[in-house]
Amino acid sequence: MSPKRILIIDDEDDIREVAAITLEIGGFEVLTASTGRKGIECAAAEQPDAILLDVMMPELDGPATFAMLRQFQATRDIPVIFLTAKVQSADRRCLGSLGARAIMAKPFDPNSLASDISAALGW
Amino acid sequence: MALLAAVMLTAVAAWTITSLYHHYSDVIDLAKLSELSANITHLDETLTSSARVAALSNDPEWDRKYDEAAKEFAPTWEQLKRELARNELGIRTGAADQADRETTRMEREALALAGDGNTAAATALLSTDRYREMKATFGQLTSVINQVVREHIENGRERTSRRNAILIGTCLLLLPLFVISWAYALMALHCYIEARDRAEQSVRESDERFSIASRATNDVIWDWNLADNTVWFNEALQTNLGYSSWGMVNITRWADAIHPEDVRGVMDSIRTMVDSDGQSWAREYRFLRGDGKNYAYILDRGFLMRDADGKPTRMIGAMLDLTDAKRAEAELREVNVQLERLGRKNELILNAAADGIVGLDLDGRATFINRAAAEMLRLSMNNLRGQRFHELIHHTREYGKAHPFEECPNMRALRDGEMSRVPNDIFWRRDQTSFAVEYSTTPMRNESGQLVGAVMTFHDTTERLEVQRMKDEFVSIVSHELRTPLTSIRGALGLLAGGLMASSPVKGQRMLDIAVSNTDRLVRLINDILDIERIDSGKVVLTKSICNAATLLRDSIDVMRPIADKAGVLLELGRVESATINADADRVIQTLTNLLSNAIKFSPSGSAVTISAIHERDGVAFRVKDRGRGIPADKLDSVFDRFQQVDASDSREKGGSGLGLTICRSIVREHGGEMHVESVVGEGSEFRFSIPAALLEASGRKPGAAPRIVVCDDDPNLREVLEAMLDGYGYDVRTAEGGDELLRLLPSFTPDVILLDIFMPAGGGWETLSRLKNNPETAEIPVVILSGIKADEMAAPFDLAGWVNKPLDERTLIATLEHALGLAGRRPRIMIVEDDFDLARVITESFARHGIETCHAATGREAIALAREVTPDLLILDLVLPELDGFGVVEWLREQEKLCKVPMVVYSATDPTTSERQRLTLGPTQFLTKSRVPPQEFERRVVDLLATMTRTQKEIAHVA
Repeated sequence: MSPKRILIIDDEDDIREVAAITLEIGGFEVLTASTGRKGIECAAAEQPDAILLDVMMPELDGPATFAMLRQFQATRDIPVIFLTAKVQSADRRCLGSLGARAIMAKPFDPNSLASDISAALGW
Repeated sequence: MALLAAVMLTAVAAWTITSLYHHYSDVIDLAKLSELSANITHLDETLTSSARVAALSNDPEWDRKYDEAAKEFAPTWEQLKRELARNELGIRTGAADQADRETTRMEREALALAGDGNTAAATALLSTDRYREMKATFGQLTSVINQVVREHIENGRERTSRRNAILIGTCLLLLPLFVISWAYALMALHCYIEARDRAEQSVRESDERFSIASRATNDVIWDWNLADNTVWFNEALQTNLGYSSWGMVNITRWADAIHPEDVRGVMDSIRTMVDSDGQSWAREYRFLRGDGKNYAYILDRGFLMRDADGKPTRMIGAMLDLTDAKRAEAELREVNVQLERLGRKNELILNAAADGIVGLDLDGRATFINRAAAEMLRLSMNNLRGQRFHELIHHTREYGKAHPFEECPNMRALRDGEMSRVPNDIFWRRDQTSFAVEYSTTPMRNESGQLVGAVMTFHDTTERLEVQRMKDEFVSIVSHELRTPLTSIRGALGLLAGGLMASSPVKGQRMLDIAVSNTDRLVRLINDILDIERIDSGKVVLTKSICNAATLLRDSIDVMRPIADKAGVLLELGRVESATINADADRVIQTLTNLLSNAIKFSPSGSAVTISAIHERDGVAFRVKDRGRGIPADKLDSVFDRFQQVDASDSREKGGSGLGLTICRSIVREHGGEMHVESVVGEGSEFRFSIPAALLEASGRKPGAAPRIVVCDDDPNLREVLEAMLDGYGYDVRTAEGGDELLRLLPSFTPDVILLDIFMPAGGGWETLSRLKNNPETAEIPVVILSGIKADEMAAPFDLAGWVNKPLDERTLIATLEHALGLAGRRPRIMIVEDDFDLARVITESFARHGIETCHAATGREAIALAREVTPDLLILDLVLPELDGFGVVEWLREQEKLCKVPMVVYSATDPTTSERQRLTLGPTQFLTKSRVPPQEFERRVVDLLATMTRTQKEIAHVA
């Protein structure tokens, strides 16, 4: 069975890098994108098994990116997990209403991130 | 009257009883009846016998005897008949009467017959049966009478008792009437007597009562005998008015104690009362107390008595001490005045309140609306008439739904007397716009606890909600900003700690690098956040000093040059004008380096960043211009806001926290300046900020322009030191190594002051001085001598502005130079010590119009620093200052020989107390309160004070 492919969309280089290494070690194949727009293009082209999506990003932020992913036939069915530093309950409620599979908080624990994702997606 | 009635009644009763008695007495008086009966019988027998004898004898003697008896018989018979008729004994006399008349006729016939000599016929007539029958009939009557009398005598006792019974009955019958009438009569009599007695007794008692009352009462009672003008006073005179007992005195004693202003009125009023047949009198007057000093307010009421002829005899009255009442009245009046004042004050307070305050009656109509409420609702009292307040301002809910009065929380206060508080609601203005409010309604009750209305207070929460929203947003952003580097750190370290990197030391090292750089970022961020909070909340105290703008600029460039070099960006000095600012040098450099750092970051390699300092009207404008990508127009406004980088990725790429510009602007604002940005996308941006000029300008200098000085000394080391030092103090410095160079310099550079070393080899100090003073163009330039010899050891031939001894004391030098600069114009100079920059600026500007120079210190410590350099002609001092308050400043000033007599105006928010005033007095000192003395009035007073002062100084100078 080929490893699951995960797309990380985050504008923070360091976070992207740490998350990528974390998930690679966790046995995933990792794709990354530094903006929402690039993420959507990548998702459409690469058809990852899941998308780990940052919320606070310039220009196209997480929710907007999510909405656009839902717009396109090619990306509509890819499960999305928000990975966000916005951890206040109001923010979480707001994100929760969007329809993502899960919301995960930053900072994340690299030793459990992969398994948390698998659990959330039922892998 | 009652007595008369009683007497009449008695008479009637007596008559009745007497009548009754008599009635029964007649019946019972058998003696008389039997006597009459016996008399009649006797007379009847006499008549019969005398008639018979006469008839037989025809003897006239018997005729006479018969006539005599007949004469006696008739009235006796009549009497008997009357008695019998009256006594109603049931004895008929009719038959006897007829028999009497028959026998008398027959006897008279017989007597006539006998007289005619017919004795036989006469005797025969008297012997007839008829005559005998008639006589017997008559005789029957007397026997009946006798029998009746006998019967009566036999029943005499019974009759008597019946009579008595009747009498007693009658008496009993009459008795109550009798008793009542007499009781009444007696009562009437008693009343009369009692009334008379009472009148007498009341006089007696009233005298007694009067004397008791006189003793018991607190009022002063007096009794004035008008016949001899003596007056008696009771003991209250002693207890109440403090006199030793007067007892009986002449009325003049009383009159003498009346206040001289009142005595005439008192006497006149008594006279008027007496003359107008009046009876009672009352008058208020002042009456001397026993202490002979104080007067009591007296209400005196008297009652006049007159004798039968209406002549006044006696007057009795009471003096009531009204002093306390008067005082109470005065106090009440004062209280009312106070209340009125309080009412006005309350209104002022209500109108001064920032919250809207509305009084509501039980129907919910507004009865009062304060100014704040009127302004917020754009309503006036006139708009309120008749309408429920609710219908005016509270008719619709936030999302357009109607809001009926019955559901209004104000109703709770008005109906149930419960206080209600609503933190979030909207009110409608008169123009039908709405605003967010918080309001509370408190029921109002009167003294008896009855609900009479409510008071609603409210305030506009729009701003607060906005602030709250911004705060929430800031917290959210900060949270995010902090979590972002933490995520990298946590992730990188987590991977290392979990041993996941063991196989790849290169990746491990990379993770460590990420952790370290993000830790740095986190530290920077935290520092910036704390910094910005401290600056904005005023917790960062700027350590201001007089500094030269150009120096600050150069220092900043020095700091940033390595970074610029690394980035391949050229740092270029633009126009740099020498100007003095009163600023915290470190903070200004921080601002400049921050701007430079941004400019360098966004400048393409090889381009230049230009930095300049330009002298402006009221300060210095610093400019940092780059030729980077520029800022889009829509971002220009928010570029100074927190975490508002044009591109969020900038913070990563350029290493900023997103707070730099915010901090810069805060620093500039703390200095009383402002920061702006202009930018064209693709061409670059220019950040500009201004720092106000230091306000310690000497005369002749443009505000902000550095004072010009020429230092003339042959010692190059000293020249260098002095140049640096004076530059530091904001001087525009030129140096000359000797008199010749100085004189060559002067045409192109006119200094405000010259610092001249008096002992110089070439040209010599004295010679130079002489040349300066003898040239009209340079004669007016103040010269300060720099010398190793003390001034008093030298005879100075010229007017010198100052003398400074070597070795140099920096402070003395600067003070002397400032003094010399001040001398040039002799314009009055005011030092303003005021921490409110806006107010300081207003004051400065207003004095500038009067040609008065000002210098400003914002803190107590600054004031002291400034006072060391400048001797003001007048000090304007606020009391509440940072670092060192006004009291501390005055304390220091008092110890300074030069400053202890400086006139001062204390312009404070509150009134200093007397002891505080003593602590605050310096020279001539005035105390003005900010709230009470408006700026214009303040300006006028200070100018007046200054005018008086300089006049005095001139006068002193003239006299000298």
